[in-house]
Amino acid sequence: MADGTYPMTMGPEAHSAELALMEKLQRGDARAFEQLVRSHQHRVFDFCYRMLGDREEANDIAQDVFISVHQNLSGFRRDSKLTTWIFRISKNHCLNRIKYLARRGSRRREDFDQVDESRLASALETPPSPDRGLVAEAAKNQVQAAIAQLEPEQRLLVALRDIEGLSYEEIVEVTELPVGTVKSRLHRARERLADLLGEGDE
Amino acid sequence: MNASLSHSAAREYFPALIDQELDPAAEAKVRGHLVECPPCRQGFQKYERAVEKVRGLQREKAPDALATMILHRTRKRRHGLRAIARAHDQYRMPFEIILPILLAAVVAALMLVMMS
Repeated sequence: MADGTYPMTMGPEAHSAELALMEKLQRGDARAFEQLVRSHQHRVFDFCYRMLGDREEANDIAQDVFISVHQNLSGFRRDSKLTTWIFRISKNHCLNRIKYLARRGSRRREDFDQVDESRLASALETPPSPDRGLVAEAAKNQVQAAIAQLEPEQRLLVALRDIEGLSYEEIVEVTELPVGTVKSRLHRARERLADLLGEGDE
Repeated sequence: MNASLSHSAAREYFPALIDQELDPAAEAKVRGHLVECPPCRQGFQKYERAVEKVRGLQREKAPDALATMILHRTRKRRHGLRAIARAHDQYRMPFEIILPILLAAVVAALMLVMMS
């Protein structure tokens, strides 16, 4: 969990609150939908940003995610968690967008997805700066540049587990992969990150 | 006990060690190997540092306008659907007119089939 803002597990109170919200949403309550958007927007945006590596792309895709949520509320199964369902929709939108961008062979703007070796090297070897803010910013960029070097499927697992703090059970629901596959792919992704980030440390 | 753990087997335990999912006996076995094996220990430290860096990432906040744009799009969509329903209400033909037209069309079609 990055900053402890989002609980990894849901208590009984939060669960019943979510069910109540879901009931309102399925009745078409516009205020409930606004509440849902306001409570989940930062999380969905951050996830899209990690997947796409670009704020503008993340902004567009996060909008599409919530529009899909709005259109498919009637299809939501009460036996799954609302957050997990939203992440599944987010995952589908992001992977589709990545495929589309790869087919098109171009990027709108700054994109970490296929960052060239020199840019990665410069991000990973940024010299220490006396300014604390700049140091933190450089460190943040290094990590994001390394995440962007991963395959989309690996990036997805790192984002869900190590950034969004989902449990393996929730990740299985989002990705529809067996838990063993989730764990082994995540392990490979972390090893790759360790190599990429380790190069900067050495 | 530690000797029975190969380097590759020790590495496969890294995720469980990070996630604190190992039972005490297994954890002791892996940690024992790490104490005795400098390359695996360094590998684990590198792995752990990378995971910590990712977990410590500051979250990207959504732009201020994101929620407003989403709500605007959903309202537009709702109103769009309502407008279609209203247009349908205004322009649809009464049932008393549609039924005779449909019946006449069916009879005409049957007559055409019979004549051919």
